[in-house]
Amino acid sequence: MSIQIPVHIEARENFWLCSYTAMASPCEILIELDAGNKGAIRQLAIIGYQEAKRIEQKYSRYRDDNIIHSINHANGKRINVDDETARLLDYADQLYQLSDGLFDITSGVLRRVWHFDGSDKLPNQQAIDAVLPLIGWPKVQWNKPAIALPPGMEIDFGGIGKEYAVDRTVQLLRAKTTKNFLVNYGGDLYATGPQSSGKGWIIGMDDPAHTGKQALATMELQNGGVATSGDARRFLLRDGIRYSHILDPRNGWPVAGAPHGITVLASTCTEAGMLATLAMLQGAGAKEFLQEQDVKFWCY
Amino acid sequence: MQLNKKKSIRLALAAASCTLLAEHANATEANGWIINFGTLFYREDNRVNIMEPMVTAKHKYNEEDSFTLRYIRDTMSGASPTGASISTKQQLIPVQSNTSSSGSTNKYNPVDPYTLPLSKFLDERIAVGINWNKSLSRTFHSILGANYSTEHDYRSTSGSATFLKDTADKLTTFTLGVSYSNDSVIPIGGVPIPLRLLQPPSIDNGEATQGTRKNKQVLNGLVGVTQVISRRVLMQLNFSAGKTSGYLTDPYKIISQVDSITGITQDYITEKRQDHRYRAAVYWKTVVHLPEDVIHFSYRYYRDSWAVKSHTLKADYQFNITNHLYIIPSARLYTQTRAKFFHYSLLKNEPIPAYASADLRLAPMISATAGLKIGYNFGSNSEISARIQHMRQYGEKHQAEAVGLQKQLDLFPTLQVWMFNIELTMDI
Repeated sequence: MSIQIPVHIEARENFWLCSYTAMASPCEILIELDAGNKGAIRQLAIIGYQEAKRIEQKYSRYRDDNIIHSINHANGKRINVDDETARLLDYADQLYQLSDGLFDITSGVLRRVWHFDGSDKLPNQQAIDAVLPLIGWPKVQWNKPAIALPPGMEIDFGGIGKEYAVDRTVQLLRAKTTKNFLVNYGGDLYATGPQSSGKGWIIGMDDPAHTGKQALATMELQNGGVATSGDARRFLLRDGIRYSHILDPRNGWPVAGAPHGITVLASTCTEAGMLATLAMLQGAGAKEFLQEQDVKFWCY
Repeated sequence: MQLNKKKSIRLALAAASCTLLAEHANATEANGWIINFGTLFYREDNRVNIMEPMVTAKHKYNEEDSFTLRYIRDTMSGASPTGASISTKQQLIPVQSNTSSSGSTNKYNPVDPYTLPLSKFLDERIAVGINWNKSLSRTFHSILGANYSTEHDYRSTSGSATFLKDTADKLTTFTLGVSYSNDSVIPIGGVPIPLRLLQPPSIDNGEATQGTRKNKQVLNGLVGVTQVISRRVLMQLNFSAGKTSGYLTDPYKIISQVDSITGITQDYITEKRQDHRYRAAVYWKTVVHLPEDVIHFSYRYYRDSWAVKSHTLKADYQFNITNHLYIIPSARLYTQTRAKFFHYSLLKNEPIPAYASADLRLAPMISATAGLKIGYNFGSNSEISARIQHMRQYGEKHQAEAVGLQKQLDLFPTLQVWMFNIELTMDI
């Protein structure tokens, strides 16, 4: 193989650990030891790596060669999208409806005025008012397979992409191995079932205030998807008020009283991620929202 | 209200996530043909044999819109009950001028004692159909269909329209459907005069037929709702009602007239059914998705203006052995009550009722079916499968109507049916 694929494989006590970087996140796949030799495991890891990279390249808003760039720079023209993109747009549409407009893939333009760098620099209301007309999913004409954005508006799948990549990777690997494994993309993860010992996979939940330094808690995950939404170090602090990076697309301001982090366990990673995000958007009502949904969650 | 909505978010989200992650093999296959070849072999013990090859071709021209073409060719042969009752004595049944029997020139059809009178037949049916699936919006779909079939003595032309409306969260689907069919019956040898004494042509000196063609119309309507109950459970409830009108009599079926004391068959007459039949049915189905397997369970209640009431219970269990291989054992139980003008036979010395039929399909019965299907899928829409089913149909244990020697007989001999199906579906 002429091109070195940047995938690292090592054997741990109970499982193979595969690691690579994609979507600006550390990515890991943990597979049971008896799933094969190092070469076979490497083949599996490459499948995961290629899928994560594919999704990153197709949906990153930082590239100028992908479908997101075409849609965002069409200047009001209709763009025909492929089936996968159509399904993501349908999904985003349903999330918009379910959240009464709180989840909106056109809200990314707020990043032009909000810079969550830990400082106390709040934007002024005029700057926010200037971008608000560029937000609103109902202004988008989405009639499968064609989408047209009013000029100046943007969409991005940043809020869905990583969790979606986890579930896609799981689907691809499931077709290749009957052994159980865990896929972890930057803290959003999915486990297909317990290890052969019958034990679950031990995962640590980071304290969002001290990311990477200490695990807040550990849990044993047997089967299902886990995703976290949190403001980690992305916030502004002014006059004792902490402004989280979770923005309400309806008024352009951070939602008030949101917890620092929410971790949800659900049947897919995408579903867990969206439940965590929708809960965050409820602000102070996050915990109550999750209790009503009857899902397993951690709020901190 | 608000609380309810919040509670349903998780369900709606689970359904939406499922759709998002649905494995459409490769993202580019929205456009293509799915071809299905199948053959059904149907065999009733000592009676009917049917071989039915079928081809369907479905063309998807985008993710949601498609049309389906269907071609079926049945070859039916064997013998079916004439309606004449079983007897302890040798029977000589006058050959109707119009029976579709295979060119026999006999004046009488001899039937052994203790044997159900059958008449031989051979027919071929060709049916073609088209369905057009069109999505009118993201949550509103229509299916339009048209069918035509022809056999030696029967033609059928029908059309149907079904509309499906999803709620915004896609957890509920409402269904509305109508269908209409206009059929022609062209009995071989003409339309027999109903309730008329059967005599061989040499003795018969009256007109036995009244024209050559009769019509029949079938109108049906359906309303239904399909609801996602939880992540694992889906339920469907349908109500349907319809009307069949026109010539509903079977031109080849006859009825025995027996002596009211001995029960011995004296004569045979042609049958006559009411010329309209109002039907109503309720259908309830539940699908349970277990982590690996799938259970289907359904119940149907039917009743009509001929006083036929039926219950159908069906259950199957899909074991997914691997990602590709599955087996489905299935069971079906069916019971029906008698049509109000059904008689195993009539009494010779009593007046003939206004309507009468001895067709065993209108008799009270219970049928039980067991089946096993095995399938292997080798790609997104490609699959090969085989299914075998065995059905037993039982009539009443003691027929209260029986008189004299008939009491020693089973007027509804148990029927055994074997069905074997093979199918190949390919995505091209």
